Amino acid sequence: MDDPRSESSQNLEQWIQGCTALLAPSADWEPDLNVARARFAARRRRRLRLRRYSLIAAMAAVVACVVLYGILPPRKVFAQRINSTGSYFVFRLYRVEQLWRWITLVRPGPVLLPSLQEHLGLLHAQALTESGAAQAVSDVAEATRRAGFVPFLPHSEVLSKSPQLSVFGPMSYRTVVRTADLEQALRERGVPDQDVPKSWDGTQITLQMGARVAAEWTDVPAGSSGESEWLELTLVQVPPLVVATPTGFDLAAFTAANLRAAGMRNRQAALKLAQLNTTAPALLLGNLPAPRHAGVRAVDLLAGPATLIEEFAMPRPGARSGWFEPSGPEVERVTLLWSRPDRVYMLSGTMRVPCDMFGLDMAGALTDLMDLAISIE
Amino acid sequence: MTVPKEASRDFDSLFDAGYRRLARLLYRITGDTGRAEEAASEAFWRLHHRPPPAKANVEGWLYRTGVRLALDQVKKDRRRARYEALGSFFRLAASPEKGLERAEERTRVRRALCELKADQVALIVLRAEGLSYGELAAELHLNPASVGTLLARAQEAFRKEYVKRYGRPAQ
Repeated sequence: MDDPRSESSQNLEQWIQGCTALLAPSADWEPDLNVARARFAARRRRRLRLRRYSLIAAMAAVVACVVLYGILPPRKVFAQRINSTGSYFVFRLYRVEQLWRWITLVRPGPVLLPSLQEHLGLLHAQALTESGAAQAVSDVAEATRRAGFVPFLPHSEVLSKSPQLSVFGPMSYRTVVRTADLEQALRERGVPDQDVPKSWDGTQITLQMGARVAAEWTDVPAGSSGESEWLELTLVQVPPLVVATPTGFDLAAFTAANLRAAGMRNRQAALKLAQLNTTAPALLLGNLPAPRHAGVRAVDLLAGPATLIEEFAMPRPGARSGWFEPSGPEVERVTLLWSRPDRVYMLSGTMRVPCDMFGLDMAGALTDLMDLAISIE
Repeated sequence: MTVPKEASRDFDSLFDAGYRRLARLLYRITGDTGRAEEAASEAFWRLHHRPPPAKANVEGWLYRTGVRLALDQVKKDRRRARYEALGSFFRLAASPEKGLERAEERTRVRRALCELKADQVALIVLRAEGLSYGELAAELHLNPASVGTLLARAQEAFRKEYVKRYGRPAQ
């Protein structure tokens, strides 16, 4: 080939032709049209299949979005402690949580204790030391000075309203076990398989409670703390309770027997609940204002278990059962008891409008209360 | 968007008539029959899947698309060849029955060609396929009066690229 720089444009074109002739495919190579057609058809089929699946996936996504939109309305604020390290995440999936609470807590229903109030009277708990009248305090600092520990309150993003704080002095209770009364109560409840050792008879149990701080919120509207309206919310915290029993006395077994005597038929459930270190004091204190009946169960507050007590209102006259009417007893008040290494908490709320024990509103109330409990620092 | 049903028959005819020619044309760029067929298939697939506007010259669109795809493939292969002891580009371009010198020259030409713009490459390879200026204008949807100028520019660009890379061509 000649140097193109010294040639005319015609020669340049000839040089180019010479170059491109080198690139020509071999004369005996013929692209296979059949293979190309088959490959093309296969690709077209894949494309159609993909489009069909994409359509199905898109429809599923739309349905999911519609469902989520229905159950995920915006919520004012909802902070949740994820672990004990104290890290917080703003968690707005309130409806999902409510639905979860309904599935896991409300739908199975509580373990009813139809005779709790009656049975509490049989324990004959007597106050050894009275705590005296509540002393109103202006702020947390004053409460700290009077109670001797720093009271923790719900996270301000969960409940922004300021509470009325008060401090109660120490108190102690005592009860003496009467096995005859316990056996009688078990018989009346139709519980034949509960063992009541004779050695329990005459055993003295004392409960000592240090100074406690109560925080009260009244008339908490919906939106201030979740979606439930509360007539009042009360948070009581106290240093760890001291339950004194004679050596060898099985407090958990005694508590379980009392729960069964109060109407809890399931032995395992009673034992499980009795293991919680807040259940026995709750029974001994006997300060559960059970107006009619109560239900009890163990719940998980992420950082540990808690005892949940539901108190039922009397059925309203003329109330009907149906899809849109209450189909079960109406819950009026819910209480959570749980303990941490340095204190015991009791958080209770009275709802402005009692709600069906199996309803979604009940799940909302439990969600609100548990969120409050979880957010307490 | 895909080719409408009524146009499906036309597409099949176009595929039957144009596929071989496009694949052979693209071989000049890729130097590999498999790569050339892949690029040709891809060009037809794009025509089927996202056809050009109705008034567009479909054949010219196919050539331009095919050339771009082939150039992309060559560049991709070249990048890969940098990391391989024996680049596939060189291996595939080699032709044992011809002399080493001729094979090397083919490689040089192809590498210089692949440095040009896609439209210039399309002009040069279609011209090499024997298309007249009028046919080039029709196929590539160009003004017939400017085809000669555009082709001359493309050839000059090729010459410059070749000389820049390899200096005086091998005799």
